[in-house]
Amino acid sequence: MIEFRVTLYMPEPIKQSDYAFIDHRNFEEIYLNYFPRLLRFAREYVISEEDAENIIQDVFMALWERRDELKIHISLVSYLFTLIRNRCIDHLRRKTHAEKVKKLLQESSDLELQMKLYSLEALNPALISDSDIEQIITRAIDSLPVKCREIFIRNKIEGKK
Amino acid sequence: MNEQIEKYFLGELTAAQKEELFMRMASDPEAKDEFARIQNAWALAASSGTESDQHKARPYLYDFRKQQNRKKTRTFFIGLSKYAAILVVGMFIAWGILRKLQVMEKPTVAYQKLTVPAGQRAMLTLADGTTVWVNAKSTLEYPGMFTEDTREVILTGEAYFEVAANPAQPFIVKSGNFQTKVTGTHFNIFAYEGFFDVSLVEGQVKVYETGAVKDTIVLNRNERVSWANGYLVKKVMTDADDFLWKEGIYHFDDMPFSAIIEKLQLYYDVQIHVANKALLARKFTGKFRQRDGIESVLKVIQMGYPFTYHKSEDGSNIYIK
Repeated sequence: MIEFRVTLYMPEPIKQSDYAFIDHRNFEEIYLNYFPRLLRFAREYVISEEDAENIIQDVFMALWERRDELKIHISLVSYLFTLIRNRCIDHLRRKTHAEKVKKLLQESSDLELQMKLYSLEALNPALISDSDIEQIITRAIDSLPVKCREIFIRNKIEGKK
Repeated sequence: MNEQIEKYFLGELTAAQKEELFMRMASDPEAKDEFARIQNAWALAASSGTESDQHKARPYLYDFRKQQNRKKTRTFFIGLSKYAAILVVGMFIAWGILRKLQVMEKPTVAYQKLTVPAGQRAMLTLADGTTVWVNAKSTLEYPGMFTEDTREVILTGEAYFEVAANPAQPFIVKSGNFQTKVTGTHFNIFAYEGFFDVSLVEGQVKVYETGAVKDTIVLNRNERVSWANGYLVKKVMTDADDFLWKEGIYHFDDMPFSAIIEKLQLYYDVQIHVANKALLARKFTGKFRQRDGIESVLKVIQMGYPFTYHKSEDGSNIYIK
C-alpha cells in the first residue's frame, strides 16, 4: 500500500499560516492548485460536468469576495470542501425536487441523484474540515474496495501520461 | 449487492442495471450506507492532486477573471448609478423650481400692464403691429413679445382693437369669463365689471366663455354680442359711432339717461345717484369730448332737461335731482 501511495502526486502541503490572509497572489495559487481537484470531487455528486464547474466557480468567487472577513482557523482547503459540500447538497435538493415535479421517465437518474444527495449528507463535515485534507484523501483511497482502488490508481497513472 | 455497488463505481453497470441497483437500495438502509461510504471515499480520492492540475486550471481561471471583471463593472455601475440617481433627482428638483419661477414670472416679466385712469384713454401698438385703444378706467395686460401659439391679451374695461392679420397665430382677448378669438380684424370690447359686449367693425371674431369653446358665437361684420341675464345675445349693430371714444369723443345716440349715466360712471369712476325717475327714461343724443369731463356732459344734458346736481366733497358721488 505504501508503495503506490508514493507514486501518487502529492502537492506541497499547504501550511495554514500561508493563507492567514488572501491576496491576489496567493488566491491565484490556491485557484490553480485546487480548482481541478475540487471539480472532480463535486462532479462525483452532481454528475453534470457543467453544474459542477458552476458550483466550483461560485465557491471561488465567494472565497474571493469574503477574503477580508475570513479568519481561517481551519485549513483553507477544508473550508473549500465544506463550502462545496453544502452547495452540492443545495443543488441536489433542488434538482431531485425538480425531477420529481417533472415526473419524467428518468426514474433511475432521479434515484441516482437521491443517492448522491444521501451520500453527501452522510459525509461528515468534521471529516473534511480537518486541517490535513491530504491525509483524509489518502485515507479515503485506502478505504476504497480493492477493485475500486485498483481502477482508481490505474486511471490516475494513465491520466498522468 | 455490494458487488453491484463496486461495479457502479467501476463503471461496469448498464443503465438498466443501475436502475435496478438504486431501486433495491431504496429499501435497504445498510446498502445505502455502504454506497454512501464508498461514494464519499471515491469522491475524496478523485480530489487528490495530479501533476496536470495547474495546467487544467488555467482556462477556468481565465473564465473566473472575466466573471470577476463583469461583477466589478456591475458594482461600479451600481455605485455610479447612485450618484446618477442623485444627479437626476437634483435636476428634476431644479427643473421644477425653474418651472415654478417661470410660471410666477409670467405676468410680471412677460406681461406688461397698461392701466388707464378714469376720464382718460390711451392708444398703444403691440409687438405684432396690433393697435389698441384703451378706454377710461380700463387695464390691458399684454406680452412684450408674442412667442406662444396664440397672441393673448387680458382686458378689463373697454378697448378697441385693430388686430394685425396673422392666421397662424390667432389673437385672443380674455375678458373675465369670456374670450374673443380673431385672426385679424377691427372690433370693440366693452368689458367693465358686470358687462361684456363685443362689437365687430370688420372681419370675423369668435366669442366664447372660457372652457366652453363648443358654444362659440361667430360674429360677422356689424354684429354685436352682449352678455345679458346669463346669455350671450347677438344683435345687428346700429351705431358705429359707438367707437368714437377712441378719438376722445363720447357719443350717445338716442340713448336713455340711465344708460348714459351707466357709461359715465364707468368712464369717470363716479357714482351717480338719480332721484328723478322720469329723467332716467328720457333719451338723449349728443357727442362729448372726453377731456372736457363729466360735468360738461351733465351741463349739456341740463339744457335739454332741467335738473340740478351736486358733487360730494371728494368728487366720487354725484347727486341728481
